[in-house]
Amino acid sequence: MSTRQPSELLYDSEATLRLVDSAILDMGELGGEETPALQQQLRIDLVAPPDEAIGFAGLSDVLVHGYTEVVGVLHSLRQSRHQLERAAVEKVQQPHDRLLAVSSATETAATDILNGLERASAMVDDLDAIAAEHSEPGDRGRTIRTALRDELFALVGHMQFQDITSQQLTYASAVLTDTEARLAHLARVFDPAVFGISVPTHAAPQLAAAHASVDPNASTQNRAERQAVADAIVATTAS
Amino acid sequence: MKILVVDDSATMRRILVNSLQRIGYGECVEASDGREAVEKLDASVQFIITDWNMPNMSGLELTRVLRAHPEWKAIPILMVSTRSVKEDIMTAIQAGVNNYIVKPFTPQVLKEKIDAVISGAVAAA
Repeated sequence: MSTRQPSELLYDSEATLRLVDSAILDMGELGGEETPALQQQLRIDLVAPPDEAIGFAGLSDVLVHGYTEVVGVLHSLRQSRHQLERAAVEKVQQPHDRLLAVSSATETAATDILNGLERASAMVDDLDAIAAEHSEPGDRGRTIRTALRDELFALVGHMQFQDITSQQLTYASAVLTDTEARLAHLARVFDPAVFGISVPTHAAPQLAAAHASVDPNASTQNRAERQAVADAIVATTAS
Repeated sequence: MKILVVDDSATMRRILVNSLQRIGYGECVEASDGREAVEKLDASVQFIITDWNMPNMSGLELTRVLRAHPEWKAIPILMVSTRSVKEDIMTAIQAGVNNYIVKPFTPQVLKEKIDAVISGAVAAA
């Protein structure tokens, strides 16, 4: 069985057809009789019923026609290659970069928010200290400060969304990288020599690494139900 | 009690440390993956809280390494992870984690599980 690449076969076919074309042109020059009108007649003969005799000049036209068709197919293949190139580089790479940028931005924002929450908590502590110097029975301010501290602490807990969404974004980004590599490999089948992008060979390891370092199913939903499943398993194992 | 907090997310480490301080565990040391956790382990660490999905060495690998180590085989390990598939949790328990928290967690659940692990460790001792 042949192990040659389709692209190699296409190139060989194109080269062979060019040789045939050249030979046909040489034959035409030797004959020297084909006027444009005759050539048109020969083209008409191509679509004529097969039982009609074509002749040597007609055979030449069939070959020219076949050559034209093959060149057209090659042109279409090249266009497909360029479409794949665009899909790989533009349509996949750009969202990949954007996802990474969004992930980075949310991490920066989360850090800023945590900084702010910690500063706010420290301010509540300061208010407590000031109030302690002017302690009064039934201090309503203390109740409010306690409630405020609880609210700030709850907000810190809510910041877990950043880790969860970051895992989802990282996984989606790795999937895009993998898709980019697959498209590039597919494009390379069409034309390894002319194809203008470097094929990322690191995509498969990246996806594997993403599988190891993130949970694609990370979710903020149904926390209590999911914790109950874990509790039941732990209880069963312990008993 | 000194707690080693292992998570590759700086945000999560901060939230965990903040929550631990809030519930009365103020002494924490941080590591960003299992490998760094092994490096930072010393006799003063009495409890480990670890994520599962991390680069270099996952929480599951860390647990297996520690359970196979004569010095660390009994150290309490609490896993805090987004993984909530039954089979995954079973795998973690079989690897040797003492308890399991599904992210996102609440400080109440965190305290409850730490207390459960500590009381279990005391009971087993």
